[in-house]
Amino acid sequence: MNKASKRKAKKAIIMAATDSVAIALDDLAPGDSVKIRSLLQEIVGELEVSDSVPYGHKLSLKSLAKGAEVIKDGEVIGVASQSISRGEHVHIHNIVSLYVPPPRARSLKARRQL
Amino acid sequence: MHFLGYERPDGSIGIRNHVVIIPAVSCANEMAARIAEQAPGAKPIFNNHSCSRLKTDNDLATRALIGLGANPNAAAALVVGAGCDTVPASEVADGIAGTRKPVEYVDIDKDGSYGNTVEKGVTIARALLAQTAALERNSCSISNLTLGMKCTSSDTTSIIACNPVVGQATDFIIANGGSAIFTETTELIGATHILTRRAADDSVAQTMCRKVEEMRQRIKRAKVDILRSQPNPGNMKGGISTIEEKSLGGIGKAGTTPIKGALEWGERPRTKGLFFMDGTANTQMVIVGLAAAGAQIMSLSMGGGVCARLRTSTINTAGGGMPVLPIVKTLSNPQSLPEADYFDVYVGGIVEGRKTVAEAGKRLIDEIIAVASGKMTKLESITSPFQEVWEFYSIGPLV
Repeated sequence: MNKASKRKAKKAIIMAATDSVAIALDDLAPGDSVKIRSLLQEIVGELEVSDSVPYGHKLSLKSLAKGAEVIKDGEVIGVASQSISRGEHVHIHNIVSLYVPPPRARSLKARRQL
Repeated sequence: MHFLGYERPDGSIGIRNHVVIIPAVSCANEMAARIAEQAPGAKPIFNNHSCSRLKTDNDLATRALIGLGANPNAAAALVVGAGCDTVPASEVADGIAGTRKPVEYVDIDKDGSYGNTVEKGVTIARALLAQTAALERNSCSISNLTLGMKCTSSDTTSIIACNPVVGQATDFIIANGGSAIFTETTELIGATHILTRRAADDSVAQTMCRKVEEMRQRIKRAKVDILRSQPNPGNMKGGISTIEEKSLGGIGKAGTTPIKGALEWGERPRTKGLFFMDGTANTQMVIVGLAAAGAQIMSLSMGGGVCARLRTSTINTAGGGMPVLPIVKTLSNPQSLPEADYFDVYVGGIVEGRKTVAEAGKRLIDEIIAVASGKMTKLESITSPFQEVWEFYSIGPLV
C-alpha cells in the first residue's frame, strides 16, 4: 500500500464560485489530498496540499502573483504579499489587508507564530 | 406566506402579546419589579440608565424606552418614573401613546410616594393584563415582520454555515415584503467597500461609511486603532487573516438585497427592506436597539465554543430574555453539539457535509414563522431567578 492511499481524503469548503481560497475542514498536512466542496455539498475540485493548514484556515485554490486579490465568499479579503502557489496555506504570512498598511517586520514575525 | 399575529391599533403586527412594565430610569427598576411581582404575566424591562449622563445619551435612552413600549410585541405598557428629569416617565408614555395602544404611567412625583406609586402601578398593570388578555392571533402576511440579526461567538463555522443561512432567511423575509435590520458598526470597519456596493443609493452609502468612521475615531480616542489591532490574536489563530475577512461576518448575514437606509440606534425604519442600524457589537445593546427599532423577531447565530456553553446565550438573557424580542438561536459548530438542545436551530450539518445551505435556510425560515405564530423559543422557555438589566447604547462619557 503506498503512502497516498493510506491517507483518508481531507475536506475543505468554498463559499462562492469565484473564491481563490478554500477553508480547511480538517487539519491538513503536506501531501494530503483535499476534496473541495461547495455550499451545495457538491465536490468542485481536489488538490494536493503543500503546507500544514490547521482546521478553519485557508488554502489557495490557484497560483496567485504578488499583489493579486484574495477572494473569499466572493469578496476581496486582501492581496498576496508574495506569490502563492496552489495548495499553499494562505494567512498573515502571505496576504495583507488593503485597509491596513503592512505591519513592521518584527510584529510580522510575532504574528507568524500564531 | 403567513403567520399568526396580533394586530395593533397602528396597524403593526405583534408576535407576542405582552404587557410591559418600563422603568424610565434605573432608579425605578425596583418599583417596576414590585409591580410585576403583583401583576403576574406582566413583563418588566429593567435598564441601567440613570443620571450623570449627557443630554445626547438621555435622548438616546428616551428613544429606546419609547421604542420598547411601541414595539408591536407589547400589547400595552406601563411606564414607571422616579420623578426625575433624566428621563421623564410622562415623555416616554407620550411617545408610546403615538401607537394608540393602551399606555399609562406612574411616577413618584405625580403619585406622591414610593408605596403609592407601586400600589397604583399594580392596579394599572392588572387592568392592562385584563384588557389585553382577550386579543387573538389572526393570519398576517410575512410583510409585517421585521427581523433583527446578530452573530456572536463567531468562528470558522459561522462564516460557512450561520451567515449564509441567516442571509437566506433575510432574503426570504424581504422577498415577501418584510424588513430586516443588521447593526454592529464596529464589525463593519473592514467592510465599507461592501457596504458602499450594497447601498441602495449614494446617500445611504455615505451615511454608513460616516457611521463606521465615527465609530473608528471614537475608539481611537480611547487609544485603540481597530484597523491595526484587528483581527485579534484569537481570530488569527482561528484562521482569520485580515480585517476585511473578519468583517465579512458582519455583513454576511444581511443577505443579498440592497441596503435601503442607515438608522440611528433604536430608530424605526420608515419603509420596508434591508436596513443598517448604527451601534456597537455588544449583544445586549444590539437586542435593545433592534427591539426599540420595532423588530419583532431576532436571529442570534453562534459559532460555538465557550459562549455556547453559557446556555442562556452569550449574555445573561435568562428569565426569558428581552420580552418584546423573541430570539431564535442558531448553532453552527459541530464541536458544540452537546449544547444543541439550548438552540432553536442547528446548522452544523452544512459543516459536516450533510446539509446544503438551502436545506438549513428552509429550517431557519420555518422556525422563524413558527416562533412568529406563537411557538416559544428556547430562551423564552427558560425560567430563571435572574432578571436582566438592559444596557443602552451611549455616545458620551458618564459625567
